[in-house]
Amino acid sequence: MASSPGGLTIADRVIEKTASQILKGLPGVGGAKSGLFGFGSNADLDSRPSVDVTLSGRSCTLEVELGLAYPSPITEATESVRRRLSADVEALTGVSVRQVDVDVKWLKPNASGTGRSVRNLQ
Amino acid sequence: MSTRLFRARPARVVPAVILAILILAIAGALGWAAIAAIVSEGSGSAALSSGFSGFAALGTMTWAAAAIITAGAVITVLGLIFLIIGISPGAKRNIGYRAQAPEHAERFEVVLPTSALSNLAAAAADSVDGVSSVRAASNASSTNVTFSTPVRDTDEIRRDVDAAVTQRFASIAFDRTPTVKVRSQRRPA
Amino acid sequence: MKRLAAGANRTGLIIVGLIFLVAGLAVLALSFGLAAAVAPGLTPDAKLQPVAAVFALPFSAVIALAAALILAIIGVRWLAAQVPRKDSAKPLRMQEDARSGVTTVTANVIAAAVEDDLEDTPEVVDAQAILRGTARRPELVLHVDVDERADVDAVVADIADRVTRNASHALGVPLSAVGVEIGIARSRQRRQRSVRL
Repeated sequence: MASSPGGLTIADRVIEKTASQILKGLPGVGGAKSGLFGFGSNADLDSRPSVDVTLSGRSCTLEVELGLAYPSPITEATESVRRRLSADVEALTGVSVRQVDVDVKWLKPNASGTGRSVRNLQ
Repeated sequence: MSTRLFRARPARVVPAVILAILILAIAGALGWAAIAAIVSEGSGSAALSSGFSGFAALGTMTWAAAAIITAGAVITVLGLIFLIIGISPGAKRNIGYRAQAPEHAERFEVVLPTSALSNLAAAAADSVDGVSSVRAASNASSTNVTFSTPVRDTDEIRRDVDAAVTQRFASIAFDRTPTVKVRSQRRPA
Repeated sequence: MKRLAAGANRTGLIIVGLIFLVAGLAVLALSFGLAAAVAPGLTPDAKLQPVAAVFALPFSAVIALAAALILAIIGVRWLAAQVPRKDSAKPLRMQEDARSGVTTVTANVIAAAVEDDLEDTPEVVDAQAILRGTARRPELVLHVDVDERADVDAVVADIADRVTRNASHALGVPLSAVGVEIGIARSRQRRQRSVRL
């Protein structure tokens, strides 16, 4: 790309941010910002999942750590994440996605949406 | 997989730990004597007896010596005890519970340990008026409840406790409902 | 619900018991003169000199040291085997096609979700879950502590109908086995501090 004048260079961090933002928009998918013991107070469906990109040539592989709403089917949920991520990252950045490895870090009941909230009664 | 999900019989952890420590102690003593022998002789070809004088003393004893007979008897008894503990199945520690497998599970097994049975019985007996304290001990088929009361005439309370515990057990779908035995213990008020 | 080395313990106890029994009986047979018929000269008044002579052989210290090491290894390994094991499933692979990427879920992640779910069951005070088996044939082993006055049948029914259904739904396959061990919490030590509405 550097050879052609006015070429476009995309840093891997841009792809990471993009993928992360796409994931944040998906319902039932949450972040995996690890707390003191791997997961904890920071793990919820509103936080941003972490994405790691490995670029090779004009394509990339993604490693995603996320949390899912319980009890949604894990296989279907992660397959749909994989499809959306591949399609959207490619559409937004022009980099084709070969593989999306998903590491499910936690499963929690869907707190947002059903109006459930933890209220302290003390 | 046809193996049971919960161990029904004791795993003999305590005897195994005792025996493992005994083996370690023998290893330690043997190793100590061996190193002492090698150090005192200063060569690898040392005889074990040069590290510990007890071996020489052993040679002067006869088979009929009291110490030898005692040692033989102790070893025989220990061996017998270990063998019995290893072979005998031990008391059952779980009570079966009648449960139907739901359609999303091929096998569904529910058990209550005997400790849970005792706690159930004690809790039920505690709720009876006039009972000041309860102890309960259970095996897989029965529960013994012992309660103490300041009341002089314990017969009526005993019947109430029996009824309360029996009713509590009847409310639970055991494979075989455990039998209840109640004893009273008068406690001076 | 954690696994103990029951088989190894019983085998070890039987082996050591047999060795002790045979050795002890042999000593007693010699002491009471019963062995003299088989081995002439081994009368009760014979000295133990032949036994002591074994310890006086050259290199016997080195051999004893090796034997001590072997015994020590057996003892330590047997002790180490007493630590209860969870034997959780290996991390589950749950993708449809590995070429487009793999999905990994550890057994602890699913067990934690099941534990949270169990604690939503009324009258359950505390819960532990272990996931065993594989992604295709998962096994759940559960322990729940219920309140001493709880309706045990209702708790079991809720686990059977709701908790295991949720787990099976999340895993996408029927559970191959579910084991539930019920404990009774005697004193109300663990108070619930908040309520989810």
